[in-house]
Amino acid sequence: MSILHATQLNKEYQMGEVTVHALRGVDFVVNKGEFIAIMGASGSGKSTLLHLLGGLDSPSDGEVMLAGKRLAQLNDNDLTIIRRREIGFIFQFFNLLPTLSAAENIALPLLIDGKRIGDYAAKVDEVLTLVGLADRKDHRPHQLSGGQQQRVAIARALVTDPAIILADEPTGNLDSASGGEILKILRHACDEKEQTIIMVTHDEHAAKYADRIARLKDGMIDAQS
Amino acid sequence: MKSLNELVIRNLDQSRSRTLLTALSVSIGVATITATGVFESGIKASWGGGEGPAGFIVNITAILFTGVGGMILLAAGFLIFNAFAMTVTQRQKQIGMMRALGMTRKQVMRLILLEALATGGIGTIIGLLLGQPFGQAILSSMSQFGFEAGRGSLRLQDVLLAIFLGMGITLFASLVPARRAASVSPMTALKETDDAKQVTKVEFRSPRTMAGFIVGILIWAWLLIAPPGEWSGYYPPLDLVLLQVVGIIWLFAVILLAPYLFQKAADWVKPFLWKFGGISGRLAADNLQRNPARLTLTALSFAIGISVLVGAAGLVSFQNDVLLGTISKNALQEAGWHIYAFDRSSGVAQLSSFGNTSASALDPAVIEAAAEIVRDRAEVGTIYMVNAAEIGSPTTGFPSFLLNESEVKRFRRPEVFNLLEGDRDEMLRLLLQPGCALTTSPAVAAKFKVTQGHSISVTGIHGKVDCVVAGVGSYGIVPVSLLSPGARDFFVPEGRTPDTYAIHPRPDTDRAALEADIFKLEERFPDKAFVSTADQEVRAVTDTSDQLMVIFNGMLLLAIVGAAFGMLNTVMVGILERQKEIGLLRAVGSTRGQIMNMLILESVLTGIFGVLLGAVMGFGWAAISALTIGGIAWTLPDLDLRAAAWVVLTPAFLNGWWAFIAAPLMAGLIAYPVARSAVRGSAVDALQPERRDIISANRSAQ
Repeated sequence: MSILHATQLNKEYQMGEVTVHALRGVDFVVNKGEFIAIMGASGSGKSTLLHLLGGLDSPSDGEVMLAGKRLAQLNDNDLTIIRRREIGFIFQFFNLLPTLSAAENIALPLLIDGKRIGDYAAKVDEVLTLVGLADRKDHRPHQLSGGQQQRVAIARALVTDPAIILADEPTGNLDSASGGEILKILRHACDEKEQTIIMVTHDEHAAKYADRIARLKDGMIDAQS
Repeated sequence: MKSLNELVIRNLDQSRSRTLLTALSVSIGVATITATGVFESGIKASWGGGEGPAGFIVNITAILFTGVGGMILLAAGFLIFNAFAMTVTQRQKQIGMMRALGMTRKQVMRLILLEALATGGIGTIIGLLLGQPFGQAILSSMSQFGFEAGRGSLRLQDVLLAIFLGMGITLFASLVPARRAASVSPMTALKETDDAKQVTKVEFRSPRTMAGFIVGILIWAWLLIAPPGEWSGYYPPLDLVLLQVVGIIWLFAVILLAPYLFQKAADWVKPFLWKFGGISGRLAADNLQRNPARLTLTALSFAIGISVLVGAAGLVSFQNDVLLGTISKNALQEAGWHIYAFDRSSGVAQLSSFGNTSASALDPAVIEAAAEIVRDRAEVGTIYMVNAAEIGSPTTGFPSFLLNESEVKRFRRPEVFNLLEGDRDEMLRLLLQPGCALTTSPAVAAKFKVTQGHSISVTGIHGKVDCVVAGVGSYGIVPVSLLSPGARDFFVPEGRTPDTYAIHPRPDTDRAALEADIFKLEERFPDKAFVSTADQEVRAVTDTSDQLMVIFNGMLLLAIVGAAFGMLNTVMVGILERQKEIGLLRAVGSTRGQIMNMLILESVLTGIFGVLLGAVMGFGWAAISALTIGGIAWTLPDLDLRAAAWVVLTPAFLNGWWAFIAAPLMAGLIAYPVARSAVRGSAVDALQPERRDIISANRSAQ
């Protein structure tokens, strides 16, 4: 059953004076519970594809269907709510808020949704334990290592039990041991909770954790395996 | 690019709106100082050289206005510091890259300082251009009080002062950021920016906080246990010096304490903000705690204007309500009428006549008619205004008064003349004997180190005259010096008529009938005879300073607008700096509204913190003015200064309350458009600021 369906995606953007064609007619289908790696050289359009799939950005042309909804037809508010509840994001640079503790950073999507942190303490503890940071919950980001910060970011993506997790080079900034930890957690989420994971990476080793690899070249899908 | 200096221009051009905003904050300060000069020269031109009480008030006003200009510049200095500190943080990578390419620390520092000088220069030029029309506008605004001022001119000394302060403060404020820029390591260029930047925490035990705390405690312990106003007086003008010195120490104590207090305040409001404002409220409170120095400087730029507003109102209230209020209680007991050649109840407008002896002398016909009306129903005092700088009190510019015998004889009664040093009978004897005798205020007596029976050499119309001191004390509502009837030949030209005709009803006289008759004089001699009652006399003085407060309020509104420009600047850069964070919040599902709420709330809270800080400083200054000036110069040595310090707080609040609302409101209004534009782009724009979406790029190009 497909959860994400992109058809004929085109994306152009301006970089200084140059117009960049980041994506040229990409068709892409993701089934529920799949772990997909998107690979490609830098500038091949993989991050752009991820952003379009997650509704962070809108395509110049083409459309994205997410859980039966056409993203282009949604207004900004509805799109925001979908991001908040259906999608978890993980970035290469962990993007934690420096003023919040690890537990508070994890709870951020819930807080933004107007939920009370007290009601979700058990959930936050659960994901903290899952990423192996139960003893670090009150630490601020600057008190954590890079690998630990990324695990907090993953916990933040998992806390809402989103149907889809989008990860943009989640191991790109980590040593191989920390990276391995992260990938195991993602694999676990996919196997145990049937969450769909789409991961952009240029690391062949990381891609091995995925069920399927889509390779992008010059803004087009080159091969799928 | 031809040289490194061109880089300065490019940098300024790139952040055009920020440069302009910073320059505008400087220009408002420079304009105020320039306008003060124009105002002063305009008033002096029409008030005859600024002698007498008019000069006294012009000088005080000019000092106040220059003070306001200086304060605005100081606030601008804080904002310049903020602006450049943020520029340096933001451009760390660029600076690191230039260092990596071989730029020396000195070159980096020069680059930043040149940018600051260019910004300050633009601001100073704009300020100088605005100063002349602005000063003229203040002069014209005085016509609503019935005062026709002349044309003010821009004086070289004010231009130089404005340039010096405008450029000096800019340069000084950018020094620390420039040094910080110079210390950026070339490695910075190669590293990814550190996302998990440590949040600065201010400890109570930090040297700065402790210093502020100890200085604050010590200064108030001293002020309250042994108020310096109990021994300070006008000669030398120790009270005003003390007011300024203690006021500045208090300012510094508050500045040192502010970061810690703000942090505590944010801690304290955080649960409420979280409860009522949700995550936006919580994050807003968090963000305020991230950079205590920046928050303090931004809040201070608001606080400065507000504190001056509150403090000055306290000072004026101390003069009007406490000093004049107490003295006038005595004067009112002697209720009678004074006839003048000008309208004393006209506030500022009266000043041009008061002290200008050619304009203030009564018409002989008026005196003749008054004598006819009064006949034997009252005692008549005739009073001449005399300019004798040596014995001028409360300041050297103030006129002294020469009285006739009948007025002097009334000094038998303590409520007419409040004798502080010497024997009353001896005083009367000395005053009524031939030759020059005088009474004076304790301040003048202290200046010459004289008391009853000693002599002072005073400059009269024919040269120096030795005058014997008959007593030390006060008469009327201002502690002036008085000359005896026997001194007349030395101080009053032949044929001159008195300036005041004082009528004191006899105990058996029908007061109402006499008053009605006296007021008929005003109808008979329009523009030549003005009757004033004792309470009008008091009001004449208080009205004058109240009217000046109106102008003063207007100038302080300007200070707050100046602070708002800087606020806009700070908010703008603060948002730019956090673009990634805003993108992240959008990515994890914050609506635009939530982010806007957060940003606006931050701004409003900064405004509120500024108000609180301004209130603490201003109320402090109001109380300090009572505690340092004291009552000695006003012949009230036994005044309860601690009670006075308490009393002046209410009027200080009533004058400044509008700013308490205006500052947070303005802060919120200013943040609104900036916050709107911050959330306009897509989340990707914020996460990857170097890439602009083609749609939004087109939109901004249209």
